[in-house]
Amino acid sequence: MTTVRASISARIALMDKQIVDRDRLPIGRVDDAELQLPDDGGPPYITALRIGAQALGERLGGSVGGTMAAAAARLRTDPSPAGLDVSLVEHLEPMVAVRARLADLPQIAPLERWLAQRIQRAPGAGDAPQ
Amino acid sequence: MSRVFAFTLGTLSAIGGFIDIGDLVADAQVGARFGLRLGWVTLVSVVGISCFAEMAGRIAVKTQRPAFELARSRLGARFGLFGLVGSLAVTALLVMAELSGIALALQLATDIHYLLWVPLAALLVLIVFWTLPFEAMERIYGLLGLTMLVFVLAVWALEPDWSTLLRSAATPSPTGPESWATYLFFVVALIGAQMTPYEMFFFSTGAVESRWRPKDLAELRVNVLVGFPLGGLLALAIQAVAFIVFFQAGVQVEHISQTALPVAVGLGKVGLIVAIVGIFAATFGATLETLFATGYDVAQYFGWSYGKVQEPARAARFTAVTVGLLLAATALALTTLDPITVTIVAVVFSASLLPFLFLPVLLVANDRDVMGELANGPLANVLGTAVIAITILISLAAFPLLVLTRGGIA
Amino acid sequence: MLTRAFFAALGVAVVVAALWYVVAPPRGVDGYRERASSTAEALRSQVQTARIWLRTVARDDTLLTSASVGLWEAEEDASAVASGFEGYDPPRGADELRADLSGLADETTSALGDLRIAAHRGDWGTLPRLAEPLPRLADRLQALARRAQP
Repeated sequence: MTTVRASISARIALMDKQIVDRDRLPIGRVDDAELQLPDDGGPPYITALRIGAQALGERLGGSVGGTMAAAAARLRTDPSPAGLDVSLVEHLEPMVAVRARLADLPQIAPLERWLAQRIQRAPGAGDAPQ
Repeated sequence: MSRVFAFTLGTLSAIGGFIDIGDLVADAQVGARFGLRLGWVTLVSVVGISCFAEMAGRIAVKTQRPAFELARSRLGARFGLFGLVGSLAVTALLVMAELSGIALALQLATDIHYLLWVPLAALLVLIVFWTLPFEAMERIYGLLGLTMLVFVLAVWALEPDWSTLLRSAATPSPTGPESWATYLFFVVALIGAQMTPYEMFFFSTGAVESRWRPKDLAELRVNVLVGFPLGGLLALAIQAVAFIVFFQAGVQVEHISQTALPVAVGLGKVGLIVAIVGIFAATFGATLETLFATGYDVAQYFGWSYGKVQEPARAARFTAVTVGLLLAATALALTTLDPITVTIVAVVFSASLLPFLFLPVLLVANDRDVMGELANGPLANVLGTAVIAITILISLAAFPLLVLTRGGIA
Repeated sequence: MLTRAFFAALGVAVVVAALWYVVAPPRGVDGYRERASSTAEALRSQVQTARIWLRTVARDDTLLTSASVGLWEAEEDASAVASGFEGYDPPRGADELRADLSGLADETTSALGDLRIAAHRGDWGTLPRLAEPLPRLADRLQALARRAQP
């Protein structure tokens, strides 16, 4: 696994971008990013991408963001927002492409899975992706 | 054979824009009170929406992502959210109104009160949404909507004095007793009703769903150049027949039944039946279009999977939101709120939002990094900028005119 | 914080003012006469619509169900606009105008009501006779609308 050191403007090149998985299925958007400061005192680097309405709400802040985050948090069982390790990112243009399959990322979009399980019981609904 | 169907996406998008429930009543109202003196507004709307639908479609073809998705990517989460909430509010009201429109068409045919039809209409919409693939839906409603051409036929059948029609069309001012404020209010209302952003978003998402690539650019343009002008033609025909039958009599149009009446006068029973089928198809198509457009907006903002090419279980959140919206619209319709009034308010607010929703499309279409050789040429930019300038004026005038004229009644 | 609250309050004030303007009753004699005039025109519109529907019935140019809906809507709208107007207090000097318009409104809603009932009963044969007062009503409403115009 190579570590790429590049300077990007997170706001322009990364944030709010659509993320797709290995099969080009939409995973979500870059709603927030986890940063870490390196020990050698250099600029912060991104360790993970956070996905989901809870992360977005926390990033937006204010009353709007707070409400969004609170509502989203209620729908999750996991207390912390969903994160995607940055090592899984393959490239950033035109969309953020990730090397894993959505099915292998259970912490992402649990609501989608939960709803899909229920919807697929209805006639004509097709099968939820596995 | 597939070439015949090649223009159905454009036609379906145009149906929602030019002959949905709001337009059906507004066009007839305008024709009855102003003749064809507001015909130029329809021409402006056709040019404007064609320009932006082509841009949004071109963006979709190049990036394989639909236009609204870019709202958040380009404008950021906050502005994108503002656009989403605004869009949602307007489109949610429109779904309710269009659904009521289906029920009103059924009422016109059967003399059974429209509220009794609302749940059945909602169920039909749900079944179509759930089971029909995008292309089939597009074709059926695109073609059925063409029955609205009966209005064009009716213009001929009514044997009008053509010079009167032409003179009316060439006079962009209010008729005798009407005020400029009312005239301008209807300019705003017609633009809001005919240049609705959801037409553009629906068209661009449809372009992605139809898997168009840069090589399909010609097909995309045919869709735009056939669909929207056709929509404009139908809108003008509705205005014309209302002018011919209602103007001298002093009738003010408030109901779908009055929209269809001139066709009965001109073409008799058969014409009326075709018109009712057309109205049913147009409102059904518009319900689907507004429903999808809203679902797409939410899904694209949050980055969910969505779409008609997917089965419901494969786009679970999109399905849940869209079905939820349908249920909310049904409940709202059953509160006996007047759908025509709701539409008028919705289109005026839609008119105010136009600049915010058109601007990102113009910006992205010009971005060579994204669009490459498909970026805007001078024509698209000149037209696009002119349209945005017009929409800014409309946006500023919309709310004051709505209040001042009490919704065109004063 | 303060500016946010200020703008929010301003927004609410604008919306309230707008709503008030839209639903406020007519002010002054001129305002009242203007409203009377537009009410008379609206009533005439319903009468004329009914007449056109009846013409199509006579020529067998329509579905009877649609004509029935059209006649019912005409009556409903006429009653609504009439009672809306009658709810306003007339300013001094406008009492006669109110009486004239009320009288015409009653005749209109009554005639349209008869048509609606006959249509719903399927007594289409009686419609021509019931429709006789309509042309005269339309003319009188138009005349009143012109007279009332300030």
